[in-house]
Amino acid sequence: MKIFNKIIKVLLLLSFIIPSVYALEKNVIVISDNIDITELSKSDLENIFLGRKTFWSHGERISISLSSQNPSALNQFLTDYIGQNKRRFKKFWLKKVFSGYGIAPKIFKNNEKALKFLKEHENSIIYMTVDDSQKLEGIKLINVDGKKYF
Amino acid sequence: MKKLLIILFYSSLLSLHADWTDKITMNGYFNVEFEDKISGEYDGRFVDEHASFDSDMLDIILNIQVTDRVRIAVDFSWEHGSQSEVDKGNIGYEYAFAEYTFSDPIKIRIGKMFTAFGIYNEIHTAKPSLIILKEPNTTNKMYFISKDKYEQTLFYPRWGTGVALLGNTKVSNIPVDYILQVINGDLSYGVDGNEYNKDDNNHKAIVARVRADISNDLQIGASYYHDIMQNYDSNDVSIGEMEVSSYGVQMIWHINNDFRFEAEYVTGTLDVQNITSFRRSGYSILPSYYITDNINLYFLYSQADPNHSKAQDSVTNIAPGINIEVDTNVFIKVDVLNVQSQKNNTIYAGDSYSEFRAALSIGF
Repeated sequence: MKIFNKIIKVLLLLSFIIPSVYALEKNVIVISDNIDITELSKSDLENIFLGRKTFWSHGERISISLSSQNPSALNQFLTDYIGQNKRRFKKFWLKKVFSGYGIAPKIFKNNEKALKFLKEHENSIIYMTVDDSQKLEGIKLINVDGKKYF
Repeated sequence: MKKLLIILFYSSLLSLHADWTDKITMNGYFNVEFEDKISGEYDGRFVDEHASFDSDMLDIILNIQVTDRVRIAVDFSWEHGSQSEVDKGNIGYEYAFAEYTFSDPIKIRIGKMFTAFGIYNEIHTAKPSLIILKEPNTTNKMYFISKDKYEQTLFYPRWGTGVALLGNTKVSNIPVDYILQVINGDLSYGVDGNEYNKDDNNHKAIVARVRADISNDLQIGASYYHDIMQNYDSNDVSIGEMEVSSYGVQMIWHINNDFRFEAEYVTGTLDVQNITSFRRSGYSILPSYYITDNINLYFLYSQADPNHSKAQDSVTNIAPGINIEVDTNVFIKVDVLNVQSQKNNTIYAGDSYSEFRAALSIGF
């Protein structure tokens, strides 16, 4: 019985410690303040990030960026939402740029650089991951199929 | 006052710098190759008997977003160790065009462009974006298949100057992209002229290509090229017209994240007024497989029949190879090209050869 109590105590302790050490990372889509939208569908994201939709609804050219702060989350996002893993996505854009069909998305090493770019450029859309401990003040998150964090 | 002027001058320079860096995007690629014949009877000009390095390509691409709707794209290339002082190599631009976007489904282009035919032509110089070491000769380089004056005419020229209508849309919820080009077209093979500056006939070449993404993993497409060119004798006197018609179909299938299959088939006719008329065809198939996240094995099999009216004149190219991404967008490629021919082929006359090839390709 003593051993059972100890196990319970340890499990309770871990349930408080683990989430703060390994805060859960979620995908978010951030856009520039000047863009007047609050919601995009998964299909809209695919069209934007594959360069099929290049203008916002009011006619401004979309500038695409991604943060690779969490490379495995980025790969999963590209697979689940864009339909191509990171390797295919890179090849897709290499071909598109070299053959003269577009301007490649910017890929930033961390969120800090991505957000700095966002502040300096209008009409931008950025993919990044955030964890529960990060404060997201002064940036505009949009819903993707009804969810801000996905 | 002087200080104020200096401050104003520098701040204007900084704002100009910010404007330009926002408007211009630079990309490019670098490619060096090595080739050495390792076996076979053929010892003509297409094989490297002496284990040579080739300073293949340095290429700079500039995209200038003049306004939200106007883009200028330029692809400068320095090929084969360009050295104008001793007239070696080649300096040029692959494309330089202005594009106006009315909407995503409707854009127009004007200038020099790659001919939008099939899978490979628009990326034939962009080696980092190719799995294979070089594009297949059988659909892209007919002068590697036949040395007959007419049979070596390309299915379509590499480049063209003219206008294009292009865009992408959805048809029954399937993403589709299209391009329609009206260009000067090609001059007869070997004719000394500049078709990017001046055509030698009133007929304009028509190029059309449609591609549909049936699913995230399967893309199919079809291409068409038509032109009527002047045919010249050895004294550069026009002796009639020659009409080129080419049709192509293509497929790129990502069977899963690691296994990819692409294939292309091109056929068409060449009608040379009062001289000859024949059909020709070529195809390539390319399965490839990632054995790790950055090591890709491939097997290129391609074949061309330069003249269906002649028997036993086909050429087959087989190239098993490996493509390793050693760092981000840095690729080392190694393959063994095996060329086999039938006895009536005008270049190889039944001979065969194998060549070891390697390349370093870097994209940026």
